[in-house]
Amino acid sequence: MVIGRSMAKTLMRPRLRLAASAPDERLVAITLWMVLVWEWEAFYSAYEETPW
Amino acid sequence: MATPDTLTAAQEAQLLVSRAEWEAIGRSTEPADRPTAEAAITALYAIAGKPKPLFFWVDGPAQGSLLISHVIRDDWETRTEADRQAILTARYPFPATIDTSEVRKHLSWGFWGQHEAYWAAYYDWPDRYVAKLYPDDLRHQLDQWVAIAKSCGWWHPYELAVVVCERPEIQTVDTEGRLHHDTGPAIRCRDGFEVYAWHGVRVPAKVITHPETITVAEITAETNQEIRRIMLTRFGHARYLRESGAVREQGDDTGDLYRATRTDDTDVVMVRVLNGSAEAIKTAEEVEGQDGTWVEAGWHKYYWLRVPPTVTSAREGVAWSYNVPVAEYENVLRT
Repeated sequence: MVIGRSMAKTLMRPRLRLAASAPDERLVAITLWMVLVWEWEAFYSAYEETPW
Repeated sequence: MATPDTLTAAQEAQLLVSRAEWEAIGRSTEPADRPTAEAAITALYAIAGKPKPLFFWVDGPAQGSLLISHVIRDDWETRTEADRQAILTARYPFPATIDTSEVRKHLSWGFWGQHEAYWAAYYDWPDRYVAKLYPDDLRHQLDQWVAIAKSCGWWHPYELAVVVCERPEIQTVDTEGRLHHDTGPAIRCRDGFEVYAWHGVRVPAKVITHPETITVAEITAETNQEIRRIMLTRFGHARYLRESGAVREQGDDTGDLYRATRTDDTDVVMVRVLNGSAEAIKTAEEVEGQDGTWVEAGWHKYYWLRVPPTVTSAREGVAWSYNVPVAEYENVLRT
């Protein structure tokens, strides 16, 4: 079975179109403060820096 | 489309409710909702004009990277059934029999599932609670991203297959939302991969689980200032002074000033003060090894006050701990 190339960019492209059609700047400003802030950087960096 | 530039009181109230809901989604440790995740990811493939992929479910990113390192080498078909099972059930840290040499090349994941909740929430919320923002096709697409955030962990798509992770079984944060656990891992994935963190700073496991085994030499050798500060906190400032050869610089009727000079960091300076009240202790055996002293028939505890490195006397340090200048502290004592 050949799994083939990554599809991440293919799935990301329509998502970027969605983002481009999203709220105008004023609404973005209003909703910005509800954007969830995650502290997952520690997780990501731990994962990528692990001596595999 | 015209969009409002203010929110109603009801909408503002809903923001707080929604934030709590999305935080719970991002921090969920429930097993993945596999049917929901598979349906949503399949729908995204359909949007991209691709057929339904083959799903590989793994217990976490570590096991997933191991799987990807073999799957994308295109040799899955040539592997024995025993090899496949070994890869599909591997737990981190991987046994020596597992070839991990390729894993390092495959640590990046395209999408983070529940950990991308902020993205889905950001685009979903105004459309749901303020004004309709998207045509039906984009709303359909957004629904899939929302469903994925609510149903699984990290995932990465390939042309014919997708690797999807279970959610971690432990995810703990402090009151400010930073990864934190003071006795165990702040994150533990179902494949065994763990992260230890102290208020958002990643630290070696033993700093959390066995602080009593930290040594002065280890603290001194730690090059990361943040980690060293945490190691010092866990080790205990007073113990550090005792064991690092700190020098008693000065003493007066309020206590004794000790300084541990550090060449590449701020000095640790503390004032040792004796508690004025005796402890309810009857025998010497009860206080063996504890930090205190006998004053006539009563046993008194020492307390250690961490003071700024600029402090030059015990009295100044004690006054600082009361947040008053030395002169004012003298007045307080007199009155």
